[in-house]
Amino acid sequence: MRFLGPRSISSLLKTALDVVYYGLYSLIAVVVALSVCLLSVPNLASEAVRRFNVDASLSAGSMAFMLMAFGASLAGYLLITHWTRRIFRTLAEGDVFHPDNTIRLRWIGFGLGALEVFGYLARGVAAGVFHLHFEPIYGLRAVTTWFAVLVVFVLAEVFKEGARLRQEVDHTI
Amino acid sequence: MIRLKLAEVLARKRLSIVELSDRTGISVRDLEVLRDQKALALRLRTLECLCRSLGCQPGDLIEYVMDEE
Repeated sequence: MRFLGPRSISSLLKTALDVVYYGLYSLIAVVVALSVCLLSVPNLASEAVRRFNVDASLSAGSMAFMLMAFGASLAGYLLITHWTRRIFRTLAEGDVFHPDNTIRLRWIGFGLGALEVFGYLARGVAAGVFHLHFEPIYGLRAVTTWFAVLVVFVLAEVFKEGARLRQEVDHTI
Repeated sequence: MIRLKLAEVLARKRLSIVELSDRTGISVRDLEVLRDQKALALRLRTLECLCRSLGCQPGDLIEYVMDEE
Protein backbone atom coordinates (compact mmCIF):
# COMPACT_ATOMS: atom_id res chain seq x y z
CA MET A 1 0.00 0.00 0.00
CA ARG A 2 1.42 3.38 -0.98
CA PHE A 3 1.90 6.21 1.51
CA LEU A 4 0.67 9.19 -0.52
CA GLY A 5 -2.42 9.96 -2.56
CA PRO A 6 -6.01 8.78 -2.40
CA ARG A 7 -6.69 5.36 -0.81
CA SER A 8 -3.23 5.35 0.75
CA ILE A 9 -1.84 5.06 4.29
CA SER A 10 -2.05 8.88 4.59
CA SER A 11 -5.70 8.76 3.67
CA LEU A 12 -6.26 6.08 6.32
CA LEU A 13 -4.37 8.09 8.94
CA LYS A 14 -6.36 11.19 8.03
CA THR A 15 -9.58 9.29 8.71
CA ALA A 16 -8.17 8.12 12.05
CA LEU A 17 -7.25 11.73 12.88
CA ASP A 18 -10.78 12.84 11.97
CA VAL A 19 -12.12 10.38 14.55
CA VAL A 20 -9.66 11.68 17.17
CA TYR A 21 -10.53 15.29 16.26
CA TYR A 22 -14.28 14.87 16.74
CA GLY A 23 -13.67 12.67 19.80
CA LEU A 24 -11.66 15.53 21.34
CA TYR A 25 -14.47 17.95 20.53
CA SER A 26 -16.93 15.69 22.38
CA LEU A 27 -14.54 15.28 25.32
CA ILE A 28 -14.08 19.06 25.62
CA ALA A 29 -17.86 19.51 25.55
CA VAL A 30 -18.21 16.92 28.34
CA VAL A 31 -15.45 18.56 30.43
CA VAL A 32 -16.95 22.04 30.03
CA ALA A 33 -20.45 20.74 30.83
CA LEU A 34 -19.11 18.94 33.89
CA SER A 35 -17.32 22.04 35.18
CA VAL A 36 -20.45 24.14 34.64
CA CYS A 37 -22.46 21.50 36.52
CA LEU A 38 -19.93 21.59 39.36
CA LEU A 39 -20.23 25.35 39.59
CA SER A 40 -24.00 25.42 39.43
CA VAL A 41 -24.74 22.30 41.51
CA PRO A 42 -21.98 21.96 44.14
CA ASN A 43 -23.52 18.69 45.43
CA LEU A 44 -22.29 17.00 42.30
CA ALA A 45 -18.76 17.55 43.57
CA SER A 46 -18.74 14.47 45.76
CA GLU A 47 -19.68 12.30 42.77
CA ALA A 48 -17.01 13.94 40.65
CA VAL A 49 -14.45 13.36 43.37
CA ARG A 50 -15.09 9.64 43.27
CA ARG A 51 -14.92 9.47 39.47
CA PHE A 52 -11.80 11.53 38.89
CA ASN A 53 -9.87 10.47 42.00
CA VAL A 54 -9.28 14.10 43.04
CA ASP A 55 -8.56 15.19 46.61
CA ALA A 56 -11.85 15.12 48.51
CA SER A 57 -11.01 18.31 50.38
CA LEU A 58 -11.29 20.37 47.19
CA SER A 59 -14.26 22.67 46.77
CA ALA A 60 -16.54 22.42 43.77
CA GLY A 61 -15.11 25.69 42.44
CA SER A 62 -11.54 24.39 42.64
CA MET A 63 -12.50 21.20 40.87
CA ALA A 64 -14.30 23.20 38.20
CA PHE A 65 -11.17 25.31 37.77
CA MET A 66 -9.04 22.18 37.34
CA LEU A 67 -11.51 20.72 34.89
CA MET A 68 -11.39 23.96 32.92
CA ALA A 69 -7.60 23.74 32.86
CA PHE A 70 -7.91 20.14 31.64
CA GLY A 71 -10.37 21.38 28.99
CA ALA A 72 -7.89 24.07 27.92
CA SER A 73 -5.14 21.48 27.46
CA LEU A 74 -7.58 19.33 25.45
CA ALA A 75 -8.30 22.40 23.30
CA GLY A 76 -4.55 22.61 22.67
CA TYR A 77 -4.51 18.98 21.55
CA LEU A 78 -7.55 19.73 19.39
CA LEU A 79 -5.67 22.52 17.61
CA ILE A 80 -2.63 20.29 17.08
CA THR A 81 -4.89 17.57 15.70
CA HIS A 82 -6.54 20.16 13.45
CA TRP A 83 -3.21 21.23 11.91
CA THR A 84 -2.08 17.60 11.61
CA ARG A 85 -5.34 16.79 9.79
CA ARG A 86 -4.71 19.64 7.36
CA ILE A 87 -1.21 18.29 6.67
CA PHE A 88 -2.55 14.77 6.17
CA ARG A 89 -5.18 16.12 3.80
CA THR A 90 -2.40 17.44 1.54
CA LEU A 91 -0.57 14.09 1.88
CA ALA A 92 -3.74 12.21 0.95
CA GLU A 93 -4.03 14.45 -2.12
CA GLY A 94 -0.42 13.56 -3.00
CA ASP A 95 0.69 17.18 -2.58
CA VAL A 96 3.47 16.72 0.01
CA PHE A 97 5.41 19.97 -0.23
CA HIS A 98 2.45 22.29 -0.02
CA PRO A 99 3.70 25.77 1.04
CA ASP A 100 1.12 25.94 3.88
CA ASN A 101 2.49 22.77 5.49
CA THR A 102 5.55 24.69 6.72
CA ILE A 103 3.38 27.10 8.69
CA ARG A 104 1.18 24.25 9.95
CA LEU A 105 4.21 22.32 11.19
CA ARG A 106 5.53 25.41 12.95
CA TRP A 107 2.18 25.88 14.66
CA ILE A 108 2.24 22.23 15.72
CA GLY A 109 5.71 22.81 17.21
CA PHE A 110 4.56 25.93 19.05
CA GLY A 111 1.42 24.08 20.18
CA LEU A 112 3.40 21.14 21.58
CA GLY A 113 5.76 23.52 23.40
CA ALA A 114 2.90 25.61 24.77
CA LEU A 115 1.08 22.48 25.97
CA GLU A 116 4.21 21.30 27.79
CA VAL A 117 4.66 24.70 29.47
CA PHE A 118 0.95 24.75 30.30
CA GLY A 119 1.37 21.30 31.86
CA TYR A 120 4.22 22.56 34.07
CA LEU A 121 2.13 25.55 35.15
CA ALA A 122 -0.98 23.47 35.77
CA ARG A 123 0.98 20.94 37.85
CA GLY A 124 2.63 23.82 39.74
CA VAL A 125 -0.72 25.48 40.48
CA ALA A 126 -2.33 22.16 41.44
CA ALA A 127 0.55 21.34 43.77
CA GLY A 128 0.90 24.85 45.23
CA VAL A 129 -2.72 25.95 45.55
CA PHE A 130 -4.67 22.69 45.79
CA HIS A 131 -1.91 20.66 47.52
CA LEU A 132 -2.16 17.83 45.01
CA HIS A 133 0.81 15.52 44.44
CA PHE A 134 2.00 14.34 41.04
CA GLU A 135 4.47 11.66 40.12
CA PRO A 136 7.67 13.48 39.09
CA ILE A 137 8.90 12.74 35.56
CA TYR A 138 12.56 11.82 35.34
CA GLY A 139 15.12 11.08 32.63
CA LEU A 140 14.38 11.02 28.94
CA ARG A 141 10.61 11.17 29.49
CA ALA A 142 11.04 14.69 30.85
CA VAL A 143 12.54 15.93 27.58
CA THR A 144 10.62 13.76 25.11
CA THR A 145 8.20 16.57 24.27
CA TRP A 146 11.04 19.03 23.71
CA PHE A 147 12.71 16.54 21.35
CA ALA A 148 9.39 16.26 19.52
CA VAL A 149 9.16 20.06 19.29
CA LEU A 150 12.70 20.18 17.90
CA VAL A 151 11.96 17.46 15.33
CA VAL A 152 8.77 19.23 14.23
CA PHE A 153 10.64 22.51 13.71
CA VAL A 154 13.36 20.72 11.72
CA LEU A 155 10.63 19.04 9.68
CA ALA A 156 9.06 22.46 9.06
CA GLU A 157 12.36 23.67 7.59
CA VAL A 158 12.58 20.53 5.43
CA PHE A 159 9.07 21.21 4.13
CA LYS A 160 9.99 24.85 3.49
CA GLU A 161 12.95 23.77 1.37
CA GLY A 162 10.78 21.14 -0.33
CA ALA A 163 8.15 23.76 -1.17
CA ARG A 164 10.85 26.06 -2.56
CA LEU A 165 12.28 23.27 -4.73
CA ARG A 166 8.82 22.32 -5.93
CA GLN A 167 8.10 25.91 -6.91
CA GLU A 168 11.41 26.01 -8.76
CA VAL A 169 10.60 22.78 -10.62
CA ASP A 170 7.13 24.12 -11.46
CA HIS A 171 8.74 27.21 -13.00
CA THR A 172 11.45 25.34 -14.87
CA ILE A 173 10.51 24.97 -18.50
CA MET B 1 17.98 39.83 -14.53
CA ILE B 2 17.64 37.51 -17.47
CA ARG B 3 14.73 38.50 -19.71
CA LEU B 4 13.11 36.20 -22.24
CA LYS B 5 12.25 37.88 -25.51
CA LEU B 6 9.78 35.25 -26.64
CA ALA B 7 6.93 37.73 -27.12
CA GLU B 8 9.07 39.92 -29.41
CA VAL B 9 10.33 36.94 -31.44
CA LEU B 10 6.79 35.60 -31.81
CA ALA B 11 5.56 39.01 -32.97
CA ARG B 12 8.43 39.29 -35.45
CA LYS B 13 7.74 35.82 -36.83
CA ARG B 14 3.95 36.46 -36.74
CA LEU B 15 3.39 33.31 -34.73
CA SER B 16 0.93 32.61 -31.93
CA ILE B 17 1.68 30.73 -28.74
CA VAL B 18 -0.56 27.89 -29.92
CA GLU B 19 1.30 27.57 -33.22
CA LEU B 20 4.62 27.54 -31.40
CA SER B 21 3.25 24.91 -29.05
CA ASP B 22 2.31 22.75 -32.06
CA ARG B 23 5.78 23.18 -33.54
CA THR B 24 7.77 22.54 -30.39
CA GLY B 25 5.59 20.19 -28.39
CA ILE B 26 5.94 22.52 -25.39
CA SER B 27 2.60 23.10 -23.70
CA VAL B 28 0.81 26.43 -24.15
CA ARG B 29 0.87 26.93 -20.37
CA ASP B 30 4.67 26.53 -20.25
CA LEU B 31 5.11 28.89 -23.20
CA GLU B 32 2.91 31.44 -21.42
CA VAL B 33 5.13 31.12 -18.34
CA LEU B 34 8.14 31.86 -20.55
CA ARG B 35 6.41 34.73 -22.35
CA ASP B 36 5.23 36.34 -19.07
CA GLN B 37 8.75 36.24 -17.52
CA LYS B 38 7.51 33.91 -14.75
CA ALA B 39 10.03 31.13 -15.42
CA LEU B 40 12.79 30.62 -12.85
CA ALA B 41 14.88 28.31 -15.03
CA LEU B 42 15.11 27.27 -18.67
CA ARG B 43 16.38 23.83 -19.70
CA LEU B 44 18.96 23.72 -22.50
CA ARG B 45 16.72 21.16 -24.19
CA THR B 46 13.82 23.65 -24.20
CA LEU B 47 16.06 26.44 -25.49
CA GLU B 48 17.34 24.18 -28.27
CA CYS B 49 13.76 23.24 -29.18
CA LEU B 50 12.69 26.90 -29.32
CA CYS B 51 15.73 27.92 -31.39
CA ARG B 52 15.10 25.08 -33.85
CA SER B 53 11.41 25.89 -34.21
CA LEU B 54 11.89 29.65 -34.47
CA GLY B 55 15.07 29.48 -36.55
CA CYS B 56 17.00 31.75 -34.24
CA GLN B 57 19.96 31.82 -31.83
CA PRO B 58 19.74 31.65 -28.01
CA GLY B 59 20.82 35.29 -27.92
CA ASP B 60 17.69 36.21 -29.87
CA LEU B 61 15.55 34.69 -27.14
CA ILE B 62 17.26 35.78 -23.94
CA GLU B 63 19.02 38.94 -22.83
CA TYR B 64 20.59 40.26 -19.64
CA VAL B 65 19.01 43.42 -18.26
CA MET B 66 20.60 45.40 -15.43
CA ASP B 67 18.37 45.48 -12.33
CA GLU B 68 17.18 49.02 -11.57
CA GLU B 69 17.98 48.66 -7.84
